[in-house]
Amino acid sequence: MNEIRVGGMRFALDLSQPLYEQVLEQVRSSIAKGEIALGEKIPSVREMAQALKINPNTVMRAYQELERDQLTETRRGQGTFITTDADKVSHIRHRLAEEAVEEFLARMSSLGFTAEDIANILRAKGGEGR
Amino acid sequence: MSVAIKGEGITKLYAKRRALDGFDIEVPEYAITAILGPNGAGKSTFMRMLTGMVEPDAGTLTVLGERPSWQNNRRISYLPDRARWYQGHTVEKAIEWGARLLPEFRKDEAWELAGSLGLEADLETEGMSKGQEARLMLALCLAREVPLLILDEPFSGIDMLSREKIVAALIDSFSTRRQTVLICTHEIAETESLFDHAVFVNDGRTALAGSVEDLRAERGSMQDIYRRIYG
Amino acid sequence: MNNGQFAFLIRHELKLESCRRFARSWYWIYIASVAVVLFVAVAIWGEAEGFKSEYLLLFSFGLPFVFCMIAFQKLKREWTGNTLGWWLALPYPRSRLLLAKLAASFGLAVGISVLFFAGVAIVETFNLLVHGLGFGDFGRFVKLELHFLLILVVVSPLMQALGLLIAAVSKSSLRPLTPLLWITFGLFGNVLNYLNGPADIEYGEAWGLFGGSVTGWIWLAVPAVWVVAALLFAGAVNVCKKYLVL
Repeated sequence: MNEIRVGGMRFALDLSQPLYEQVLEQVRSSIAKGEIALGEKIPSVREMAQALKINPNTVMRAYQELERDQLTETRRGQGTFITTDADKVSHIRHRLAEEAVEEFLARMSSLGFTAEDIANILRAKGGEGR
Repeated sequence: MSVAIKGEGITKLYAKRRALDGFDIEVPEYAITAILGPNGAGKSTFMRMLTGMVEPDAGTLTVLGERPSWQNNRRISYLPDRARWYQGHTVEKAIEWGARLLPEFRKDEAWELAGSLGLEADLETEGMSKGQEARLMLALCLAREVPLLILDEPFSGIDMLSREKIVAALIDSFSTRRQTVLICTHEIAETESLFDHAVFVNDGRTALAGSVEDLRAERGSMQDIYRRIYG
Repeated sequence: MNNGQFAFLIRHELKLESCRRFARSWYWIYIASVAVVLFVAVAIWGEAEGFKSEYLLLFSFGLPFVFCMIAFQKLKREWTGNTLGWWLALPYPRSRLLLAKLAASFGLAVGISVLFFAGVAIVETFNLLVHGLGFGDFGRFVKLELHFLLILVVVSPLMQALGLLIAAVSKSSLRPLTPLLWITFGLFGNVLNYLNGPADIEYGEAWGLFGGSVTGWIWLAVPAVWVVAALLFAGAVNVCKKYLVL
């Protein structure tokens, strides 16, 4: 899977999964990581579609969702910008963190580890200064 | 979502084979639909029916609400399968031909497209590579303000760079214009990310159809599905 | 389809033909060689009884066949050149599309005929000059040419509609009929030979037509020929509408 860099963000798209979700997730991720700054302009639907070589409708759907989340705002005649509201970004970071933890816990549980096992492993790992 | 093209029970028989055998299809409006399938599956026969070049032996077909006819072709921009351009023309003459004979042809757009596709005005048909010819014909099709665009194998036998340019031109066109697009192609790997909707044809019938994103969630990439149906 | 578009389509059809042919230098070399041979032949044998320019006119007997082939190729090239999709999907009636091909073919036919007879007239002029025969008979010679030209012009639409029909049928489900059509081609194309029957070209008579041995009813043949041409044309249009096998 090729990684494509667009406007400071990194994308790796897997054609066997819905693309719209991937675009959405990867933009959110970029925002959470701070790869793009608050208030920064992101590429237009067309530019994004060109760079990723995907259907503009797909990009449009993702952008609309981002706007619903209030992570981005569109200014007429100027383009689409990341929100200047740090709270929103922090909110999405926490949400992504929660999702990551949920996923982790689900996997550990499916491997047969209890909550205590998990806590022990974490403490041990934590000492390695990650 | 309204329907731009609707076909029910379409059948076309040739001497030795059934090109289409009870083919049903609904092509949604303002989306990019791909008809996929191996050679001989009936795809090109169906595409030709849309412009009235071929008539079905049975079944009903409506294109933009009307039965296919030369009158209806005013609203359709069609790139034929295995098409070549007229000998003795140049890019300039070709654009002139389009401007004079094709309804809703936008000459300035055609020139812009020719530019972005790397075609010079005085390039002669005889001197063109297959890739350049394909790009010219695509430019003529995209430079029209019509509700329906039909591309029959636009990538067939074209070099990689030409294909990339064509994909870029298509994405540009989809971004700026609200149009129903129907593409039929073999080159799924490079183009499946462009489709909104897909129809898989096998033995003259629809094997599978649906929104591409839904199909991805349920079954995987279009290439995976293709292998499973025809492999 | 408005008139401007129709005119453009005819010009397009004409240009398809001429562009390539005249650009090739060997074409001109060929013509020049033939011209040289003719002039030499005339210079040597051109006196009163030996070599008459009228004999050159006999070559025009082949022109109806040539004209038919021009129209035939005009249509056939749409599929051999893979432009059929562009042509058939044009938002204009098949009758108009084929009429443009017929009109362009006719234009070419007239052009070729005029060039041919002008060429022969030049040879004859050369003949008269070289042998100092005077231009008294020249007027009669040109009149003879004009008779031939008239016949060719009248017959050309018939041969060309037939050419379109043969091309269309050859790519349709009616293909088995093609040999019959080629036979018709042979029969109709020989028209100048039929008309020349009663006359004797060596003595400067075109044929019975203008020599008075055939009566005026022969002029009815003109609309009759064109009616048949129209029927053949309608046939071609119909085949293109319903029977083409793509």
